[in-house]
Amino acid sequence: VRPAPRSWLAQGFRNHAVAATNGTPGPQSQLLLVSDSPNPIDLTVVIRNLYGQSLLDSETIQPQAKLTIDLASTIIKLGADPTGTFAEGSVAVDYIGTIMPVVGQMTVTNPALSLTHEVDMIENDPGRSDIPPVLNGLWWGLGGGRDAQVMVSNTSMNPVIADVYLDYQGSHHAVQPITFVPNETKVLDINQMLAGLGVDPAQAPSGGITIIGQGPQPALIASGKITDPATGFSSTIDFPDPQLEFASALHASGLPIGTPSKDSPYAGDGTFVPEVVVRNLLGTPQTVTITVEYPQPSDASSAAGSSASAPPDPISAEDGTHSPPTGEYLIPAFTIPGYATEDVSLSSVMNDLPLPLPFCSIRIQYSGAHGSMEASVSSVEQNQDLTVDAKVENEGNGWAGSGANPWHLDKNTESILFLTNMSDKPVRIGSKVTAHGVHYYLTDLQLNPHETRAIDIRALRDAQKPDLNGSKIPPAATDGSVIWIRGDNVPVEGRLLVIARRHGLASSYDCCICACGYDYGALSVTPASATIVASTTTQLTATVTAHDCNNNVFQVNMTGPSRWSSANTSVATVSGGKVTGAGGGSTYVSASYTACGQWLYEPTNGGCVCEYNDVAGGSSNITVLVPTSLAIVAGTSSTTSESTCSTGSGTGCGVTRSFMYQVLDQNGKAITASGIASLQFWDAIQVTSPNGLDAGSFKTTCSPPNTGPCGFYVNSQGQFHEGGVSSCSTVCYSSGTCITAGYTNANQTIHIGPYAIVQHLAYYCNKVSVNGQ
Amino acid sequence: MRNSFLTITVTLALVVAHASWTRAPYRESQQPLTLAERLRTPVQSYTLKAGNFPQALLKIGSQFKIPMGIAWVRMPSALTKVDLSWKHTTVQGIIQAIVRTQRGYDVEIGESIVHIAPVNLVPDKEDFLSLRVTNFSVRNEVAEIASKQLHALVGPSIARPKRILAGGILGTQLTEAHDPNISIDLKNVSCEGALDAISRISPFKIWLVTFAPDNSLTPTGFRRTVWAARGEAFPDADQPVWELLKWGRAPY
Repeated sequence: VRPAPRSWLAQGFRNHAVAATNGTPGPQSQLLLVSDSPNPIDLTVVIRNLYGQSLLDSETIQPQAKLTIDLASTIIKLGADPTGTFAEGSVAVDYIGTIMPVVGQMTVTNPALSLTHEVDMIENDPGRSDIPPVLNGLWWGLGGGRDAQVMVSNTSMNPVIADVYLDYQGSHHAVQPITFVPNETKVLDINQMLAGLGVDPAQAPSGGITIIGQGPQPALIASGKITDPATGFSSTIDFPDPQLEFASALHASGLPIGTPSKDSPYAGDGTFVPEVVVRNLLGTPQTVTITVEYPQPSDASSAAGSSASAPPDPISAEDGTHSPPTGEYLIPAFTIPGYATEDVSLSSVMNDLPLPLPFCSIRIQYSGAHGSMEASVSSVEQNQDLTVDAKVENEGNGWAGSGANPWHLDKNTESILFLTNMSDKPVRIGSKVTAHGVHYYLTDLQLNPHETRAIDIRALRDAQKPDLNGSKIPPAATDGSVIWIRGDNVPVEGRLLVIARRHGLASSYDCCICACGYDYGALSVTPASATIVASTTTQLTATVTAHDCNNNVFQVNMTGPSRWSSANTSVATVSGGKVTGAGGGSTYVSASYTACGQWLYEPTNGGCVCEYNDVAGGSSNITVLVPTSLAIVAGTSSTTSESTCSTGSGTGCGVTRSFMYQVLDQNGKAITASGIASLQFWDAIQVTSPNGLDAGSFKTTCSPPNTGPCGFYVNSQGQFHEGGVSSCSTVCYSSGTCITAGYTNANQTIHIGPYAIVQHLAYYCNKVSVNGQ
Repeated sequence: MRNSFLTITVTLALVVAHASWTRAPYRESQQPLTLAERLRTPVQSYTLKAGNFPQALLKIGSQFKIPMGIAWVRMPSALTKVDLSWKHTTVQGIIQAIVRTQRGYDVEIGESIVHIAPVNLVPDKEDFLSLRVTNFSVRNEVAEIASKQLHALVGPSIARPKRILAGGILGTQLTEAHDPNISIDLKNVSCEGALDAISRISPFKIWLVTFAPDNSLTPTGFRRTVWAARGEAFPDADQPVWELLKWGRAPY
C-alpha cells in the first residue's frame, strides 16, 4: 500500500552502495544522483572505508537535476586519503523525502584499461527497507585471466554474520561464514573462494554466489564485477532483490547484436554477441525459454545515409503508432539442472536473425516459481574491449517501470534511453528531460507491445523542437537528467546507456522512482481558444497533468483516448480533437477521459491497484469565421492607362487596375485565421450590361478559363491580389491603335473555398470601379 | 519543336525591370544551385508513388526544385499509378527512369529547364508549342497576365479569331498575394520558348500542356488540349490550354 500521502515527509531514508573509490591512478568513482522531487533536497553523503570509518559531506540536489559527486576529490576535501585508508568502501546518502525522490548509482571506471561497472543504490528507509534478505549473484567466463570480485557491505551499526554459498557444477557448496563489524565492507574474490574449495576457476567458469545475513533485519548489500585487464572486458554482477520478483520471466533491454545497423546507437562500435547467463536457484531442474525481440527492419532504416532523405525525427519517432512491429525469435527451450549456471551465447542463432539490427532485447522465461532464477545479459564486442551490460529486470517488478537517470554528451560520449514494453498491450510513458533547469516534456511517448524504443538524447537535444510548453533542451547542454514512468499498469523496463566510445566504456543507469505508474490528474485542452475559418480544420490537444509518487509532474498527450464533443455542431464539429468549422459563430469543444487517479502498490504481490478513477475534462472556445465580403486594402490600388500600342504585342492598350483584396468575415473584419491560407480562390464574370464590351476572353482567373479552383491560395493574412481588372482592350489588334468604348457593368463572383462573394464591377475606358469604389 | 529548343533558349532576351512599388522583382540569383547541379544531386535511396505519369514528374520537380516544361498526351497508359524505387542514382536518373515508363517520350535538358515531351505522338505541325510569336512583350506584370497575353497572341492561330466587338475585351486576373511582377521582351520566339521564359523568371516553375488523347484537331489543324486533372475539353475559342504551376502545386 502506498506508504503515505504525498505531503507527508518520511525521515531517515538512506541509500547505500559499495564501490571502489579512486584508490589508484586509473579507477574513477563517481556517485551520480538524480532527483525526482519537485523541491530541492538537502543530502548528507556518508563515505565509509572498508573498516567502517566515516566521512560526512553536505550537498543539495535541485529539482529533477543531476548531481555528480567525484569521490576522490570529496575524500581529499574532507581531509582523508583516497589512495590509502579510503581507497575502497561504501557510500550512503541520507535525506528527507517522499517515496523515492533521489535515485543514485555509483559508476567506477578505469579508462586506461577500458573497465567499468555500476552499482545501484538501495533504499534503506528505517520503515521500509529494500535491502534484500538474500543476495544472489552469478559469475561467468572465469578462467583465462578473468577476475570476479564481490564487495559486501554491512549497512547496520551492528555486527552481522553471513552464510555464504557457491553454486557450481550443479552443486550447492557452503563456505565459511563471514563476520562483518558495523559498517564494514569486505571484498570477496571468487577465484580465491573457489581455490579454497579446491576448485580451479577453469572448472567452474560459470556459477553463483549466495550471501545470507543471519538475524531478522537484512543489513548486507553487495555488488560485483568481472574484469579482464588484458582485454578491457568488464561486466557487472548484480544482486537483484528476490522480494521484488513476482513473475517467472526476466527481461534485458537494448543490447547490440551482430554488427549494428547504421541507424543503431551502437553503429560503428564493433560486432557484438549477446551472452545470456542463467542461474537456477533451485535444487531441481527448470526449463528456460529465451526470446530475442528486435525492431522489424523498415525502409526508413535501410535507407540510412540517403542524401535525399531527412534524418529521422527523434520526437515524432516517439509516437508508438508509427513504430514498426517488433520481431521475435524464439530459441528452443532447454533444461537447466538444479543449482546450475549456464552461459548461453547467441552466436549460434545470429544467422537466423534479420541482421543488421539496431539493437535487440532479451526475454527469459523459466518454469520455476517466481524468483527461482536469476540471469545476467551482456553483449560482448568481438575484441572484448567493449561490453554492454543490460540490467535484467523481473517482469513482475513494478519498480522497474520508472527511472531517474543521468545523461552526458560530449564529442566521444552518447546517451541513449532504452524503454521496453514487456507486455502484450500498448503503454504510455511519461517522461521529461531536464538540463540547466529547463524541463522538456515528451508528451507523446507510447510503446507498442514488446517494443523497445531507443531515444537518442543528442538527437533530441539537437532537434530543438519545442515541446507543448515551447521549451527546448538547451542546445549547449552536456549533462542532465531524464525521468520516465509508465502510464499504464503493464510491465515496463528501461535504462539509460552512456557510451564513451573513445575509451570503450558503456555505463548503464536504471531504476527506479515509483512502484506503480503515474496518477492521472487535470486535463487541459489547448489552445484554450481558437479561431478558424469555416470549412477548415484545426487540431486541439488534450494534455493530462500526471503525477508520480514523488509528486513529480509529467504531461501526457491524451488527445486520442479522450472523448470529444461540440456544444453546437452547426458552428463546429469535432472528432479526435480535430475541429471543423461548420458555420459562423462561437461554441465550446470539450474533451474528457476517465483513468486512474491514484495507484496503490501491494508489496505482497507486487501489483498495483487503482484506488479510484478520475474523470477529468477541459474545453476550448472555438470561433468560426465565414468569408462574407471583400475589401480593397488601402494603399494597394494602382491604375495604368495606355492608348497606343504595337500591332501584335501583348501590352499597350486599355485601362488596368490592380490592388490587394482582403477577405472579411461575417462581422466585416479581416480574416487572418490560419485556415484561410488553405482556401483556394478563383472568379467568374457575368456581364450585366454590355454596352459594346465583350467578356469573351478574360472570363476568369483560370487558365483554362471558366472554371475553378485554379490552384491559387489566399495568404495567411486573408489577402489575395487582383492582378489586373482590365477594360477596353489589353491586346493591340490592329493599326497600333487601341480600341476604346464606353462602359459596361458586370458581376464578378469570387469564390473563396466553398463560399461565393459577388462584386459589382463597372468598366469605363478610363476607370474601373469595384462595388462603386 | 524539339530540335529548335536549344536555339531558342540561347536567344532568350529577358528583361527584368520596372518593379512596381508593391512587389519586389523576382530574381534568379535567389537560387544558388544551377539546374545541372540539381540534376546531379546523388540520391542513395528513393521511393516514388504517384497517381500518374505527370504527377510523378511534378513530384520530382517540386522535391528537387527542377524547372520543368511538360507536354503529354492524356492516354490511359499515362494515367496508371507510378510506384518506383531507386538506389544510388541521381535526380536526372530518376527523371529519365520515369519518362522511360512511357513509350514515345523524351527528356531534353536545357540551360534552365527540363523538357519532357512526346517525340512522335504529336506531329510538329499540330503542336501549338512550335508556333512562333513575332513579339512577346510583357512589362511589369504578374506571370498570369503574361500567360494570358501569350494566349491572346497564340490563340488566333489555333482557332479562328473571335470578332472583336467595338469596345474590346474586359477581364480580370486574380493572383496570389505578392506574386512578383516580371518583364519579358522576346522576338520571334516559339510558344514553348515563351513559356520557358515565364518559368525562368516567375515563381511558376513548371508549365504543363495536356494534349487530348483522341487526336482531334482545331479548325486550323492543331491538336486540341485538355485539362490535366480531369481531362475536360474546352471550346476551340479557348484553345490552347496550358497550366502554370508553382513547385509543390498540383494540376488544377
